[in-house]
Amino acid sequence: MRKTIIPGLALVLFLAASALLAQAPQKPQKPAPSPGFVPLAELNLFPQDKLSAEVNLEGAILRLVAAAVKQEDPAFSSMVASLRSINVQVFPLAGIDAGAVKTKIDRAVHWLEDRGWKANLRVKEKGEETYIYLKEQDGQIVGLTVLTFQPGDEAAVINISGRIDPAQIGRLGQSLHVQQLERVPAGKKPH
Amino acid sequence: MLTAFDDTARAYRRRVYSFARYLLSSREEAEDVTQEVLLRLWRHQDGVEEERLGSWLLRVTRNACYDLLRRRRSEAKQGLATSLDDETAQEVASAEPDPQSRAEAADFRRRLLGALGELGEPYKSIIILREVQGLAHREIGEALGIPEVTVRVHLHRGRKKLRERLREAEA
Amino acid sequence: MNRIEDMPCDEALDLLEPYVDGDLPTAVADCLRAHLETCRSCAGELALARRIQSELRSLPQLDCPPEILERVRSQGGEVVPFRPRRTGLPLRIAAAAAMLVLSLGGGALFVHFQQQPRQPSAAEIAQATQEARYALAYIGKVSRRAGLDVRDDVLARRLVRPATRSVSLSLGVATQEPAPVRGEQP
Repeated sequence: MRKTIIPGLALVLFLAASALLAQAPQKPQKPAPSPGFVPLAELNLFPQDKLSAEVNLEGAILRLVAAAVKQEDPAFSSMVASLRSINVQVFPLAGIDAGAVKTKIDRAVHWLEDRGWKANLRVKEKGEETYIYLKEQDGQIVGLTVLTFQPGDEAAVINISGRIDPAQIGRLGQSLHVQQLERVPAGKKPH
Repeated sequence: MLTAFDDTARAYRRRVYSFARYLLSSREEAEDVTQEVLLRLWRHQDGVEEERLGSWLLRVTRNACYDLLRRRRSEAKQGLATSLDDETAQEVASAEPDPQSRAEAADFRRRLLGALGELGEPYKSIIILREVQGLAHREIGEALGIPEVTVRVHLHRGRKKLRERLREAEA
Repeated sequence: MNRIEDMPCDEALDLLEPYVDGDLPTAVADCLRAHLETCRSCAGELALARRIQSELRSLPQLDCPPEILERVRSQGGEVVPFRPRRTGLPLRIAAAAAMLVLSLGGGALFVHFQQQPRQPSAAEIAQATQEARYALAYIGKVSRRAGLDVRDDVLARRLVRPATRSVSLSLGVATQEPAPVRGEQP
């Protein structure tokens, strides 16, 4: 909701300023979102003020990242260069009733399926659930969304949009670990 | 579940480790190098063509060993160098059935490994890759970035040096 | 020239290893063979050269302890040593404040801002790099936890191919049937 208010406010202010300054050039059009982009705020999966981790990266910064790591890590660089956005939300579930979150995860699954996302992996075991969804356009994968629900631990949603090679993402993801992430006590705010 | 990384690592780890072990004559250092090489395999497999994987791994292994040997040489100046370790000598002990033959064969093998350990590069690498590991001259050339004919020449010279050292030691 | 009589010992000794390997031209090999038949010393060297090669070839391939591979898998992967800070909300508030100030403050400045967006600092790019790696690491973690080794061959099979065909039959059951036991989709 906050996300919709702020652009709206900005637009009003912009129009007011533009009216006063008739000679000022028009504001550049914001590019349309990638078809593989999932507005996590719209899904409203987790309370925004209780996220334990959040990533919001868009095209420009991703291109800078790609350029910065080109020499050191060409595979990662080429993967990032073709992306339009990376968004992650992680919500700790330790010590809370995860039922409501589970319901929202189920709702998010329907949200994705209603919009043409295709499920490629569903794993349910001992209360844990993991989903991997892909969005395809013109024979090209343009979106990857991972939803995971681990009662007693955490729930997370990850959305990556752009020109995606799932194999490359998988390979790079496989080589990375989040061991230290797992050592952070649940509920502790990252900085 | 096996991944392609596992498959590759299983297929090559012995070759990597064995090469490092004979090159360094040290179990501990060979393990470190093998781990380092497999890590690099994990991180860079995207950039390595499958048909060149074997030679890439050997090149990376040799470079990692060279780094260690360089460090060792600088330590040697301070009197900290190690020679052929006992573990390596035991692991490669001769399997001759007759005790006397076994003792003689073990002695020869120990002297040979000692001479190999003191051999310079690229002779040592080439001898290990060709004679111990049974690689083709072409594969060795690819791994070390030298022409096949050069591999043959170095191999002959390297073995000749071993022969001369063993003969000198006898005398 | 009759090389049989001419070949000196030092030359013969130089040729022993290529001779053992069968790398000598036939004529030279014949000369050397003739020399060796008459020179016991060089014949002894040939025996040593052959023994060296035979001994080297009988050296075992030494096996790497299995825990090395485990070490690489469990600890060796690049650790993502941070948890991304929550930047979303503060950034949005800051953006709104900036918009307010700029809009009220003057169109020219606003236009300048729009045309020349501030370049992120090196630290911000480094942070973004960490965050991107974190996202990938999280996918890796989720995949491992789900029993899925997300690699190219696996993904090509499970992700890419299903996405190009109808998956309604194989996956649509997911929301209608009881939770399946851990396993992959057909």
